Amino acid sequence: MTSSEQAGAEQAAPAVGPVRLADALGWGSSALGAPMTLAPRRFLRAIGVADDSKAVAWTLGVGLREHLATLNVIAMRQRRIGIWSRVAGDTMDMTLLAAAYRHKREDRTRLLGAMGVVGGLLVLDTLTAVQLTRADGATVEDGSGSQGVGADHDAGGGPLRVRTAVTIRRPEQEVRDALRDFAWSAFDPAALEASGELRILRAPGDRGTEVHLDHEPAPRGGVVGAAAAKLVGKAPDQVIHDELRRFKSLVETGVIARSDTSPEGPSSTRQIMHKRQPAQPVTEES
Amino acid sequence: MRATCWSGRNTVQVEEVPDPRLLTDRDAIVRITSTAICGSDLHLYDGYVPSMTKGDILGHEFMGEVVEVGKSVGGLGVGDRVVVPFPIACGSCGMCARGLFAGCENSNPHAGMAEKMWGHAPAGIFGYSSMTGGYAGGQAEFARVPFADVGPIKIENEDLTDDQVLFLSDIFPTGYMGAELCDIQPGDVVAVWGAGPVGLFAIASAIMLGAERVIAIDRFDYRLDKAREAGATDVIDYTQVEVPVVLKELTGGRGPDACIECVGMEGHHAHPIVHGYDRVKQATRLETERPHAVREAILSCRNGGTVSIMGVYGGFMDKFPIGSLMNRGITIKTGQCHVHRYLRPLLARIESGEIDPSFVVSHHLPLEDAPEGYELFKHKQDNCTKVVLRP
Ligand SMILES: NC(=O)c1ccc[n+]([C@@H]2O[C@H](COP(=O)([O-])OP(=O)(O)OC[C@H]3O[C@@H](n4cnc5c(N)ncnc54)[C@H](O)[C@@H]3O)[C@@H](O)[C@H]2O)c1
Ligand SMILES: [Zn+2]
Ligand SMILES: [Zn+2]
Repeated sequence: MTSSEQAGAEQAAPAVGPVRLADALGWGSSALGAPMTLAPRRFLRAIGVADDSKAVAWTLGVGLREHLATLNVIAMRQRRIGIWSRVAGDTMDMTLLAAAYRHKREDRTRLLGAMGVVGGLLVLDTLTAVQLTRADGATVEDGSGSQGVGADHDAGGGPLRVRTAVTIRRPEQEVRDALRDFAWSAFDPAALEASGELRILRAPGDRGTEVHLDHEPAPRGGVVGAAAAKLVGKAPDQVIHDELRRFKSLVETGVIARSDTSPEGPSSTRQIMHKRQPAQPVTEES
Repeated sequence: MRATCWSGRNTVQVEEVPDPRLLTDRDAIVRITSTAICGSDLHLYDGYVPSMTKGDILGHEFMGEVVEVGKSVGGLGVGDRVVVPFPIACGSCGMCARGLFAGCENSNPHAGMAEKMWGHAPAGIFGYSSMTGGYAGGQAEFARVPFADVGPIKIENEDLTDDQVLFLSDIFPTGYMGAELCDIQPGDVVAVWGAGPVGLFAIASAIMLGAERVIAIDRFDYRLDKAREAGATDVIDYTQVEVPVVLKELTGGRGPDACIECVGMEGHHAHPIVHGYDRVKQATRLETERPHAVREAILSCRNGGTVSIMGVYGGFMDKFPIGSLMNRGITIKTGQCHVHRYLRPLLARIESGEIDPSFVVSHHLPLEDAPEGYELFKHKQDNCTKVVLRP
């Protein structure tokens, strides 16, 4: 594996555009949410809808949702998820406005104007969300000539696609041997390396060896099966993350770190179910 | 065995739980002789730390006797008297290799959970919620200690009492690191927010590291008295005066060269409206912190000075004075303490008599009285500074 194969020059530019737009939309949410939550009646009159108590309640609800969208996109930096939920929100708003047009219309021009604005936002949000989803990736070069991070050229992939990397503080050969010997349940490292989905790179300085994975496991039981498995931490992508952590711990320390609530070591299942089991010593059976 | 279990907001119970057993070859089991309640435990007790589960065993400051060792644990044997650092560290990952033990990459099996909230995951910690690993804590009769060949320090000097060495597990190194991060130079004036146990050790350490003056800030007279005992040259009751104004006065208008924040997410503000503002935001989860001391420390620090944050914070704060920080070139340093680094040098200071950490202890209680201990410490009753439980 040579780093020149991945020359940075051919890469698409980093996804700054959609990110900026996402942030603008995120802040915009609050700007729109403010009049809805602070003066719902005035807001309703401004968009030409009768301000009865039911309409006010809906406006307050939508306003609150707008604030949450800002929190999601800006504070939590969940841009992709945040903008996709805005798409859902815009669709809901269109439905609400259409209902208002039929039953609570007071000023046709204003209401049509509002619908135009929401329609425009729907288009903008959808475009941004699609771009963010495409750009949600990065490639890294071998540490011997690390080239930094940029948008991936082969974007896309489904919900199970695993793009991750882990650094192991050991020389490459030792990591290769260990990769071969570890009991992987979710993938075969040799096969993935052959297909280019698994890459082994030297980390910069004395940091050891990086294992990069870009792999989309086949969901057992289709998309529905995978969604169900996800709820209990058993989806293939979750299993891969767990096994990579166990692998790192085993190679670096000789053991897999086990806690009282995760006696088998890193486990997505235990993290999801942690409320079921307090941090108390495990008995032989559990 | 008996163990102190979290059972919801403001309640802990001493319950019968299973005895720990070795889970890996690098584990040891310790029979606990002394264990303390920490300000960090209060954040759990008060329900401000997410991912706690009813029944979690609390406690991360403990010491005792090794009663069982896994077969790959070198350098530690049955019968050894040990103090156990609160972060769990593997000793061989990239972070451990740099001495950043509280950032160990292998000891937190719930790293995925922490990454969602914090971007990257810190080390596992005993008795400190699921997000830091879901480990049973040490306010109990026994504890399982992972990577036992890396963390625990043997105490061979039998003249040293438990009270003298117990705090190597956390608050002495924490206070020391708080001062060390300030890179104290001769002539420096250091201000310390919070005269709880962590603040007291920060004060003592700042003096040991050569500060010319150390100013302690709190609202409890008995704690400010302790601060004097620890070496503070000046004390401020923040409910009586405007702290930044007094600090200016005490430093000839410059501001302290370094500020050490030892208060944490449940800070209190003398002004009821300001206090109420952050309290409501915290109660409604619009912010997770009440960061009065952090704000005040930044605003008070001299141009180009250092603010070292040792108080624990969990999520997001409001009204962070980034303008003051940036325009005046303040450096912020912080972290869970990399306890392992400090064990040997600080034990040496205890052995040489330079410091006797037992001065912070105000109460000894049997383990069964842990619930009372939590109440005493939380409400600063009966001049409580530090509670040591004896199983
Ligand atoms: N970074 C670490 O590794 C580490 C380790 C241990 C403890 N801690 C944290 O250190 C903090 C202090 O721990 P402690 O055991 O001393 O707790 P503590 O509760 O005994 O002490 C906190 C003190 O701060 C004072 N205080 C509150 N508001 C203040 C304000 N606005 N200005 C000045 N003082 C104020 C309180 O009166 C109290 O005396 C906690 O947040 C704890 O979680 C951090
Ligand atoms: Zn502590
Ligand atoms: Zn480590």
